[in-house]
Amino acid sequence: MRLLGFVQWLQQTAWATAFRESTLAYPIVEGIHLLALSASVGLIAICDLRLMGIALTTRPASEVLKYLRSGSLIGFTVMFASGALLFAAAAEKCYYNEWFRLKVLLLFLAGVNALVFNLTVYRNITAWDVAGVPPLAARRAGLFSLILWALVIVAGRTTAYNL
Amino acid sequence: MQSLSHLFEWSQNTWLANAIHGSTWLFPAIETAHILGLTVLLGTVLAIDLRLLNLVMPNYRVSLLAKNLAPWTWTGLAVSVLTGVPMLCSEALKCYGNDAFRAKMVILLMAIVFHVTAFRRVTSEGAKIAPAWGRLTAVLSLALWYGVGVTGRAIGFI
Repeated sequence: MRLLGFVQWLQQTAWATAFRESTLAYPIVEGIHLLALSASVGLIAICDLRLMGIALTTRPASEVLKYLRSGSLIGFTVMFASGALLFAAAAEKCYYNEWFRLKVLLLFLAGVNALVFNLTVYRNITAWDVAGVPPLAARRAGLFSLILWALVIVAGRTTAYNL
Repeated sequence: MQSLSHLFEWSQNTWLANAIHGSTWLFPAIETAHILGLTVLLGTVLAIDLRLLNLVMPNYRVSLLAKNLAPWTWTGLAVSVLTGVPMLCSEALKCYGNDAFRAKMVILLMAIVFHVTAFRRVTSEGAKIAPAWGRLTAVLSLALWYGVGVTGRAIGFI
């Protein structure tokens, strides 16, 4: 209930109200959210495909991950910030929206998957760096990431249809 | 232009358009697939453009990266177009008079032409191109492809 109180307060703040009622700012932020998503998820998908041994297999995995994950993180930051604004504009509706709840859960799972990968198989990447097909744990992390992010997009798009 | 508007009018009454009109979930499902396709398209183009700008993977040869990612770019484009056509059919008349849609089609055509000409040349095997031309190509490529995204998003808002 405290969470519900928070989202109601958030939605009624002056800036969230002004943003919701704006004719230009809202579509622009939504456009930024979509384009940042394509940058963030697009670059992560390339990393996932490398981990799965499907794409860019002629180069070390560490090289692909080092650069494209940094790029993806920039995209993610923009996506998260624009997403937070969009959330604030319709916070209470999002709170009750089952697709939005699913999206948050999927984002959380994608984060856990990345964390587990970083703390386990990524630690001895030197052992499998140049292998075209990485070990099972790395391939699995790549596959989970790819599926989870695709589902985040599905849940996100469906949320917007149900607001 | 008369015949073009007839074509749009006709497409709005095809079985495909009627199937989409008759379903509550078909359009959202197709649109979601459209976004997944454009994510792969824009993501792979972005990776190559960032490489041309020398911001990522400096040891990865541009031509090799472009060659390795090309199948994914074309797959993403194919999915985007194949999902875009039914969406267009279902609201053809709305799109016909929509300035954002018209701009999107022009920019999309420019992006594809640019991709198979200047972009292909700069990223081809053994290309003798000054780094500055590579950077300019990357900037133009990003402007065109993201321009398609921006005008596409604007269709629903104007």
